[in-house]
Amino acid sequence: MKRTVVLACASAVVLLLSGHAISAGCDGLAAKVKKLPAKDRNTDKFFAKLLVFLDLADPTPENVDCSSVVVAVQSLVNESRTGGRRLEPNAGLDRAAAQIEVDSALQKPQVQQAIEAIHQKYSDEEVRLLMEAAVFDEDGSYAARDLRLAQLREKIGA
Amino acid sequence: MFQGWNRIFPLTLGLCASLVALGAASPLQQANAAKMSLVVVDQQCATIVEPFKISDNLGKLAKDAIGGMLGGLKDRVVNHGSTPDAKEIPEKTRLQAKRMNWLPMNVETMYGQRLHDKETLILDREKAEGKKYYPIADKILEDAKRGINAPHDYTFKLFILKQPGRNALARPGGFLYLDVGLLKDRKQLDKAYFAVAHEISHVLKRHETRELQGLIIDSFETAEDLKSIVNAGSHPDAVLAKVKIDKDQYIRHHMDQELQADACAARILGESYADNAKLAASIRAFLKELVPPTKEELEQETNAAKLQADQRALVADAEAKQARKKSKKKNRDEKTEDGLDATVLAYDIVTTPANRHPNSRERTSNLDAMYAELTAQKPKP
Repeated sequence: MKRTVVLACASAVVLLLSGHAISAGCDGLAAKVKKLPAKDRNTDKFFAKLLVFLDLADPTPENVDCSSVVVAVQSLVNESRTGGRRLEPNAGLDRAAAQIEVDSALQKPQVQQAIEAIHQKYSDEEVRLLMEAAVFDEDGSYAARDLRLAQLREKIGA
Repeated sequence: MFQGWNRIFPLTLGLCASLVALGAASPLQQANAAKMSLVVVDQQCATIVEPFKISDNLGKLAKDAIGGMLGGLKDRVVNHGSTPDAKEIPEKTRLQAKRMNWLPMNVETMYGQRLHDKETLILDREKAEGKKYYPIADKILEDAKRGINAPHDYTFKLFILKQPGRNALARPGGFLYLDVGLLKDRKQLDKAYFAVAHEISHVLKRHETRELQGLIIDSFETAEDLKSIVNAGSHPDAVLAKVKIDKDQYIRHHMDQELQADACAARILGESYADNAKLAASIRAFLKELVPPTKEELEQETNAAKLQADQRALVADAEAKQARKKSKKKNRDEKTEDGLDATVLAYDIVTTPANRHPNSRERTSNLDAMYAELTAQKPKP
């Protein structure tokens, strides 16, 4: 309930300040964010801020796949799996290996361009981390994606 | 009409039988039945496919617990088409119903599909990475399926997860998942084979299904609710109506089920591979990745053994008490009931496996034994 109020207020402020519509490139992203189940107060606050950014700017820069943004957003609230029987206990994120993957991915021109576009478009460090996670997801650098998401969680205090 | 009845009759009969089983049998029979259904008796996976037909399970249960009671039960079901009319489901009958294998395939598949729909990291087959790795995953699944030497009703569906790890997952209804990390590195392919065979084994042994049965039975408040089971064939959603889907709801990894799935995986791969070298490579690749047991895990292993010994003593004590109570005439019924509860409870504690993954030592020892057994049957490479 509290979360709905926060999101509704944020959206109302955005509508007052801006006439921008959400770009067709990532239709439905804001709706998906609004439908996400509540996780914790700080994550909810981040989503409220994200919605503002999504409404003020084009939701995603070029070269960032919309479905990867959805994956990044959903991963913030779905840290554990729903049911199922695993072969072995899940190993935690190997940060050193993930950083190597980040460095390797950044050598690719298309990843570089996408990251630069993100930095131009978004001034907010937290939103940048989310979008970078989406870029790495699209690139298939999943450990790099998870590292950015872990950094985002730390930053927002989730 | 008869077609529909043919489908629901065995189901109703199976469930109802489970509900009357404890009430019908002697206390010791009941305890034995509870014990029998709890323990993974087939630790070395002599049969890869858990008997699915309700009649198979009914036969198994009837042999130990019900005896000649089924005739009367059948008449009740046929003549009245109803489940037992008690308003509340006694705890011990719930226990028994959880342990039997009665869940229809369509309910299981529907539940698996619901869990699957919540999965957010599935690699799209149409994306470049999907086009690269799905053919490899599909081949692994096809190869593993060749090693299943018994008929079954599952249609396996394998998905690749956009996960950097090297894990695998199975959900009810034959939904299997492999981390893409297992497919990106060709050196991991041997482990990927083991992983798929292991997850197939969980499904065929119906490990998840039993957990789901537990959720369903726990979601029923009265015997009236059991009626939804009768129509499960045509209305599977009614059976699942009160079952909530929460994260990590039933991912307790029963240690003996994991060991059994390892054993079944070895058996499936042994059947699928033409030579032992490939089987050895797959097992080795899996074991190599396991983290050595921590000091805490080793302590856990020792404590579990000690606890089990203590619990065995508890069972013996409960049985002795029960025998003493039987010999007393006064308040006999009530006391026998108490004795029953103690015995069933004690068996339940003793035979309820640890809710954890087995450690690497336990898994290695189990797979060594399996490899020795399987290769003794085939010429060495």
